[in-house]
Amino acid sequence: MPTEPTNDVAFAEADFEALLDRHGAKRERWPDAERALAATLLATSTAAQRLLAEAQALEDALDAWGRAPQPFGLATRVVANAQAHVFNPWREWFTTKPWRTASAACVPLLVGFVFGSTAANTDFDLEDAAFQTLEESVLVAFADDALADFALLDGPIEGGENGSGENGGES
Amino acid sequence: MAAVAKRSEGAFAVLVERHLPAIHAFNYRLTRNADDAADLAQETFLRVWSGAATWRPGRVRFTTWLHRIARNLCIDAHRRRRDATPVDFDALESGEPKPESAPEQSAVRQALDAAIAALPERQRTALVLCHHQGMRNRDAAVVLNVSVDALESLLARARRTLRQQLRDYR
Repeated sequence: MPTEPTNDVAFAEADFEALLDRHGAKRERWPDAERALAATLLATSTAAQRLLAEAQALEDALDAWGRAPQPFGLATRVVANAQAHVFNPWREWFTTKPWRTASAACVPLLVGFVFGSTAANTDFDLEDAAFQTLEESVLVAFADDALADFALLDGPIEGGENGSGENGGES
Repeated sequence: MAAVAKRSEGAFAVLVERHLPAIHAFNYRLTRNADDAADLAQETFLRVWSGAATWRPGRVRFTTWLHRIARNLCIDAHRRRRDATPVDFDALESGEPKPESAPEQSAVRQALDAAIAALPERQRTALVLCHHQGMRNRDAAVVLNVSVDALESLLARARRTLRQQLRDYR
């Protein structure tokens, strides 16, 4: 159940103060619905009139605050500066959005990663190839040795048999 | 703006003539430095010149877009300056011409200057956009990239603080 405000005037003044805080003292900036309520309140409430006077004093002080004359020839300099600006569509495309700049900055990283991966694979292949070559060499060497052994084996056996036979034959 | 997007220098000159005073005043109120205000105005319009094709009429008003660019540049400049040397607003202010001759007016002005300088940046920008630049609350909210309710909260806090400062002073 909604609670009724106990003091309509105090409530309206708080509303009016909030209106001044949000929209300032210029009546043309007040929302239409609140402007009518504020006008009714101002007709009867001295507190509301005081709040409005304070808000207007602040606006007057703000009006005088921070004024600076525009430097002579600034407009001409601005136009000349723009005309001197060499339009580079690629640069504009990259610099107008931060994510594009960030993406462009990542390209070398990506290229490095790709090259690095490729180089690693190449090393592996070389090692693999070297290993295979070594393996093949060993096999070849072993094969040569084996052949030699077989030759040696063949020799003495043949020789021994022959020799002993020969020697024995001779002796 | 369509002509500016097509690199019409004549159209750009008209645009600068029309909007430069407001942007220069806006920059000056945010930076409180005449040189910075002029440099940032140049930079703002250079961004407009190079990025005119990115502005979409149906999405945001041109003045809102322009102020958003200017505000972002002011923030960047302030950050650079803060990183280099702290900004002494009192020292900057001392070099400004003071049209008021009455001592009371000058004292109130100094009190207001100090109070505004002490406001958080978003409160100060909200106040400048709505009071000095004459923007509607919803457009100022777009410049600050906040909701209308949040903008009105910023305005309310700024105005309450300043009103209290003036009340205390008087």
